[in-house]
Amino acid sequence: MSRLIRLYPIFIYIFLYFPIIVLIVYSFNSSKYGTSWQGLTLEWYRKLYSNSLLIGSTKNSFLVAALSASIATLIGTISALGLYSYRFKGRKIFSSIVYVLAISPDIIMGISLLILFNLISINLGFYSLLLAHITLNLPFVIIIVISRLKTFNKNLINAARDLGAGEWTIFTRIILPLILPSVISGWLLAFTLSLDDVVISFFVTGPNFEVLPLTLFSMAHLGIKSEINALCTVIFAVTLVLIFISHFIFRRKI
Amino acid sequence: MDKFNKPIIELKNISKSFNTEPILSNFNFTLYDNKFITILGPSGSGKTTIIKLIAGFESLDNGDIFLNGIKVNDLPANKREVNTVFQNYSLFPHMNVYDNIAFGLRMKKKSQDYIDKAVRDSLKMIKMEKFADRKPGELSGGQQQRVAVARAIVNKPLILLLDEPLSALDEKLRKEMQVELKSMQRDLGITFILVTHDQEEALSISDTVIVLNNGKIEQIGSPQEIYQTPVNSFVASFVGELNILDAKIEAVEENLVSVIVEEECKYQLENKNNFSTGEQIKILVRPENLRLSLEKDSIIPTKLKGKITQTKYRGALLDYVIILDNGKKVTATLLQNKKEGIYEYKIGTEVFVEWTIGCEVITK
Amino acid sequence: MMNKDLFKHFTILTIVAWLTVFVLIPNIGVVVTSFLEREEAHFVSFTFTLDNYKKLLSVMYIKVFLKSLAIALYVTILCLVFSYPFVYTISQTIKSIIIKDFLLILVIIPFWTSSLIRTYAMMIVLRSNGLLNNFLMYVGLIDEPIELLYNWVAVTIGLVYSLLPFMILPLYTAFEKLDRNYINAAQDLGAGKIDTLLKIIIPLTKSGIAAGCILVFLSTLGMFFIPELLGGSKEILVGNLIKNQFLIARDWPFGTAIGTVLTVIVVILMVIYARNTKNTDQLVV
Repeated sequence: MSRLIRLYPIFIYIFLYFPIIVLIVYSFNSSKYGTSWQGLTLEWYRKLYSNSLLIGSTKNSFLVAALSASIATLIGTISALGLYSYRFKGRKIFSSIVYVLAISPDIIMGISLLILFNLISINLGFYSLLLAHITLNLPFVIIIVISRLKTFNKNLINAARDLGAGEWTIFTRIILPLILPSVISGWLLAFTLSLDDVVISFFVTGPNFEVLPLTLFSMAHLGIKSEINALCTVIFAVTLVLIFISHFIFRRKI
Repeated sequence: MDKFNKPIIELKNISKSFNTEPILSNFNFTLYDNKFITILGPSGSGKTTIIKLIAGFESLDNGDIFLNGIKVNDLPANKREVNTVFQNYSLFPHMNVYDNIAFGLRMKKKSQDYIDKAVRDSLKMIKMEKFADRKPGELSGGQQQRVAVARAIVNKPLILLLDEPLSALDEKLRKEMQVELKSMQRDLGITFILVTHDQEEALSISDTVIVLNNGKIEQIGSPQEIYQTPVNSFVASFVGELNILDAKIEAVEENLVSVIVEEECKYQLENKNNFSTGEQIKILVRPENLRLSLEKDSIIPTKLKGKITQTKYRGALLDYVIILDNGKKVTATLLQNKKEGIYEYKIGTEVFVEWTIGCEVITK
Repeated sequence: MMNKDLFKHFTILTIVAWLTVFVLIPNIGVVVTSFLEREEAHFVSFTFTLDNYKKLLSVMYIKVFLKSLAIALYVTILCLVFSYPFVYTISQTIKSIIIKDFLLILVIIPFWTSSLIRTYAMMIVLRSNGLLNNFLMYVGLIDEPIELLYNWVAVTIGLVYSLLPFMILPLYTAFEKLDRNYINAAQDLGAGKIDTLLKIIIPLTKSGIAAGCILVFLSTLGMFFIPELLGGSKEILVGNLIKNQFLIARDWPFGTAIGTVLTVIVVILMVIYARNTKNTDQLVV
């Protein structure tokens, strides 16, 4: 009986990977609608490359992802320090908000930001999306950095103070180097979240600024197509690279 | 050794390795008594491994284990009539004291009445009747330790294994618990096997001590035997303080040997080990068996000469560190002599060192 | 060298400012908008009304809410039932850290992969000339392709497929935190595998179960694109409802009303969750 139980995880892994593997395999299938195998081809990847709409969306998505991840990491790291180190009025409330944001359904954030942008008359496009994604990413970066700070040995800071270091020095020379892996993990997660976001992008981006998930979404609505397979495979490959970097170079669990 | 009774435990030719590193190889041990046994040894000596093998948390690579004459190699831990007190107590944090203690009995499907009586009795025994509803997180270290013992004992096991149960307690609490454990063992009549690296603990509460080093039994005996007649220098130096003097055998006459100690003085000692002339030997003497004096003359014709370099006040006892003329360092422990003030011998004083003949151990 | 107080104020101000502008104010805006009237030109006119909420009280919309909660519950339970034995087996049976690490990465990969892509991949498998149907026909179980897509079964499968890693990872963390000695102690006291599981392991991994459940449940409520792709226009859940109000009907007040109710449900669930977890820091993995 226990032998059988040991095989169970295999089924779960098959369940998790089978559709993706099918997707990848079909992206190389010459048959246009992927119904039966008709030979290996890179045609769909070529078509992707020449599809200007897709290229444009991709560029936009990567730009927003990189920028929002970087800004969110910056703000998030500083915020994490503040929330962790200092006691101030409302500290508990804002901490709770951060955690609540992390697990709330994105759609609430989507519509709330839409209302905000309408209120302050920001046109929906690049800037609205950027601000929205920073807000999306912020809680995750904060949580990751705070988790790391919690395992931080406070005596290191006391020792530095004892030796005469000021706040900025302590931050740059002692704290930052030690929390750097977490900060980078946070960046990578934020980048991925931004790149993959469908729900929030749906509400806060405008017709002039196409992003990849939305383009993909509208294509998928129309049904299965081999070009989409190729696109998905490419994005999946990018994700794999990010995971590889995150895990092996920094040996950190995400 | 009663040859007509089955041994309580028998370990035959046990081998166990972790990650290709052998901890025990061809290890043999038989126990007939139901007394208080201590396995004493440094970290890495394999003592915890032995307990885990007996309890069933680890499986053997080679060999057999018999409990009460029955081979239990493949018997899983939950079916063995052995209970363990863990080093960190491992009390179930989500259950209160009552449920923790009752757990084993519930697993045995005892009746509710039986369980209630047994748990209440054991709470009385550990003097914690009022704590039945508390959770482990609300107890102090000493209290948790007592609950851990009760949880194991209430099941009336064949053997109780204790894995360094007192190491997390402070000095005073430790001594109290040692006494309690000893009287518990006497009252219950269960075999206790305690594992520790603390030699004082081993000596004070055991009936039998097993000294373990690198997976091998160095010596088995009563605390007195281990302390006063250690079979080798490892046992001698692990269990208590020790002075090691170098000596050479000058002559052998029947059961006496004449030795030159530290190239300085001559002694006649009992030849327990059948040494021969010319052999280099070591003479092991405990600090409390050394005697100091200021004059050369004494009962014994020759003594070792040295100077006091350190003193240590230990309340009822005084330690003196002496450097002999040939550079060797020895330690003497004397009772405080109230007549002379605190230190009978001050730092820098020249003294003569001798020991009570018969108290020494001779090894190679 | 910066002044200690200046640094302190700067860090605190940063987070307070950002959250106030981009979280507090917008959400207040949502609630306020839900009490306003709809207007063609600027989406809302500043007239107070309870009409939006009255509209919600109709059977049709209540059904949508109940259905969404029901599916969220099914998905959560399914994820838990599938994940728990998975994590138990990997955590308890596998001793090599290298293999464990590798198996964990194999879970993290789908976790990081876009849900959209994974849902699309599921579409390929489930569609009428897709693999699953072809396989079933090949094996002889069915004669014609079943309409596997475009119903609530597909939506549930799709949601479970997307969210399974969200349940596995918190469970895995909880299992790794579990001290092996508790299990040894239970066995020492006579507990067999089943007793150990029910009386010791499950109670002591409760925090992981709770964290996984709330993550999956809340995620289900908001992801409208999965029901849309896999359920077609037939399966309307709360998320789709909100989206339609904003995109198609352009009835922002009504949309925000639905959003507000959803937020209230979410907050209630979180309060329940927080009350039952000792440490609020364990809300997230």
